[in-house]
Amino acid sequence: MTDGPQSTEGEEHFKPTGTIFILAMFIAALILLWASVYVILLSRGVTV
Amino acid sequence: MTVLDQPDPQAPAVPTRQAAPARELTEQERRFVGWHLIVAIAALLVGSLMGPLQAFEYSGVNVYPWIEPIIHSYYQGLTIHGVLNALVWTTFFIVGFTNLTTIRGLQRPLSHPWINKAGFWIMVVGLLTAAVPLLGNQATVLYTFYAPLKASWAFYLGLTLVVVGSWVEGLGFYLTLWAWRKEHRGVRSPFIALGGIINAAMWQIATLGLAASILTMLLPWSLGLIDGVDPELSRTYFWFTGHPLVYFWLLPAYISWYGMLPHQAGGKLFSDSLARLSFWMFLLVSVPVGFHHQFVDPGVPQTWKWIHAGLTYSVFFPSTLTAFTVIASLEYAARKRGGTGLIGWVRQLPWTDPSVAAQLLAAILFMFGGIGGLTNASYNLNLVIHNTAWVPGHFHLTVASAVTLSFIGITYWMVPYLMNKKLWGPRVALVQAWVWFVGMIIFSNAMHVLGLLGAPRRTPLGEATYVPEAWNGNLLRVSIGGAILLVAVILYGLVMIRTAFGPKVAPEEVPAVPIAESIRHPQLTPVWLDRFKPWLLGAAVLLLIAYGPQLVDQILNMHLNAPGASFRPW
Repeated sequence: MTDGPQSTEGEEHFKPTGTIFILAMFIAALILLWASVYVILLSRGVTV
Repeated sequence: MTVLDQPDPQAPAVPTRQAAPARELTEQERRFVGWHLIVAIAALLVGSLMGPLQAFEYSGVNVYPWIEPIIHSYYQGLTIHGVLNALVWTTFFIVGFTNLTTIRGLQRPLSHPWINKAGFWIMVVGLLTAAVPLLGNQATVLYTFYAPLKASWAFYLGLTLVVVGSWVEGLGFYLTLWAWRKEHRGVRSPFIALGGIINAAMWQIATLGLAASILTMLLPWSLGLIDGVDPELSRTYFWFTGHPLVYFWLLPAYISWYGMLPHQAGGKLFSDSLARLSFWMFLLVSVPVGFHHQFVDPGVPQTWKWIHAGLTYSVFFPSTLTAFTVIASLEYAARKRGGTGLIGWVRQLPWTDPSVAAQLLAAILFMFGGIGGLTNASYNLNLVIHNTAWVPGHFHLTVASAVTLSFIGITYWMVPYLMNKKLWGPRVALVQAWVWFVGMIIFSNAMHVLGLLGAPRRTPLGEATYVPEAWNGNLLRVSIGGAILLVAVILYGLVMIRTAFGPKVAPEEVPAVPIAESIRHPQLTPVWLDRFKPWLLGAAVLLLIAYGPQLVDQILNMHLNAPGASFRPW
C-alpha cells in the first residue's frame, strides 16, 4: 500500500475563472434564446 | 470553516489518501455487466436504423413502402425507434453501468448476486414479451403509449416486467451498499456507487406512476377486463414517470462526467460535496414536475400547472451545479496539462481520446438542450412549441446526445474493460463522435426551427398537403442530419463489433475503470450528504404536496369512457 496524492494548497485554492466565464456565456445565450421565443409568442398577438 | 467543511465527528480520521489496490470486477461480474450492454447496444443499433427513416420521410423520401413486410408504417417505425432507443437502450445500459459502478466503487462484490441476476432476466423476459407485439404492429402506440391508443396486452406486460426487473436489480444495489456501510462505518460512500444507487431510488419512486397506469388501467383494458380508460389520468400517471425518466437517463452520464471524465482528462473532481448535493437535489425535485408536460391538458387546473412549472425551474439549480462542477473539474485538468487563458485551456483537454471527446461533445450539445428545456417549462412559451417538431428537436439534444453520446463514450473504455480487449479503431471511434455531433446539430436545429414555424411532431410531413414553403429547407436539413446520424450509428456498430470480436490482450493493455478522486478528501464531505433518510423523506413530502391533491381529485373523478378501438393511426 502506498500513499496516494495529497490535496495541496494550490489544489484547495484552485479558482475556476474559465468555468465562470463559460457559465456566464451560457446564461447570456439562455436569456437570448429564451427571449427570442418570447418575441415569437408576442408576435402572434395577445389574447385576454 | 463553513458548514460544508465540517467533518463527521463519528467518522474515523482519514487525513491522508491511501491508494489501496483496486478490486477489479471478476470475470463472472464482467460477463454479467456485459450481458446488459449486449442487449443495450443491440437495441440502440436496431432502433437507430428507424430514426433516419422518419428523417428521410420529412423531405418526401418515403422508405416505408419498400420495407412493408417488415415495418408496416411510419408510426410503427417511430414506435420501434422510441421504445428501443429511449427505453430499452437506456434502461439496460444504466442498470449494467450501475452494477459496474456499485461493484467497482464499493470495491466489493454484490451482496446478493442472485437478486441482480433475477432482475436482469426479468428485464429480458419483459423485453421479449413487448417485442412480439411491437414487431407485429400490434403495439404501434409510440413510446409514450398515450391512451386511448391501444396496444396488445403483451406490450404493457413486457414494459412492466422491464421496470420490475430494474427494481429488483435496484434492490440488489441497496443491499450491497448496506453491506458495505456495515463494513465501513463512518466512511463516506464512494461517489460513483452512491450516485448510481440514488438514481435507482429515484427511478423506483418515479416509476410508481407507470406501474399505476399499466396495472390499474392499460393492462386490464387491453385484456378486455374493463371497457375503457381515462386518458387524462393515464397521461398524469405517465408524466409522473415520464419527466424523471429524463433524469434516470441523465444521472449515469453525470456519474461519468463527475466521477470518471476528470480522471480521463488528467485531473480530479472539483468538489465531492457539490457532486453529491446535486444528486440528492435530483432525487428531491425531478419527480414532482410532470404537469409541465400537460400545460395544454384541460383536465389539470392552472394552479397545479404553475406549481409544477416552478418546481421544474428548481431543477435548474442542480443542473447548474453540475455544469459548474464538471466544467471546473475539466478546467483543473486542462490547466494541469498546461492550458492557459480564459477559455484557451479547453484545447488542452484530451480531444483525441474518443471516450473523452464523445462525452465533451455530448455535454456541449446538452447546454443547448438545457436552454430548450427551460423554454418548454415556461408556461406561456410552451404554448408556442407544444406538440411541435421543437419537442423531438429538444429531446434529441438530451436523450440522444447528452445521454446516448455520453454512454457511447463510456462504452469506448467499458466494452474493452469488460472483454479484456483493446478498442478497435480509436480514430474511427473519434470520427464517430464528431459525425454524431455534426449530424445532431443539423438535425436538431432544423427540428427546433420547424417547431417554431408550427410544424407538428409525430406527423409524416412528407405526406402532408399543408406544408408551407418556409418549412421545406428545414425539412431537408432534418433529412440531411438524419443521414449523417445514420453514418455515426454504422460507425459505432462497426467499432463495437470489431472490438468485441478482436483478440484478447495483455492485462496492461486493457483500459482501467477511470475513477476520479476529488480535490478534497471525500471524508471531509458533510455526513448529511451521505444519508438517504432525510432526502427520501423530503422527496416523499414534496411529492405528496405537489401531486397528492390533484391526483386524488383525478382518481375520484375518473371516467373510464375512452374505448380506444377506433384509434389506430397505422
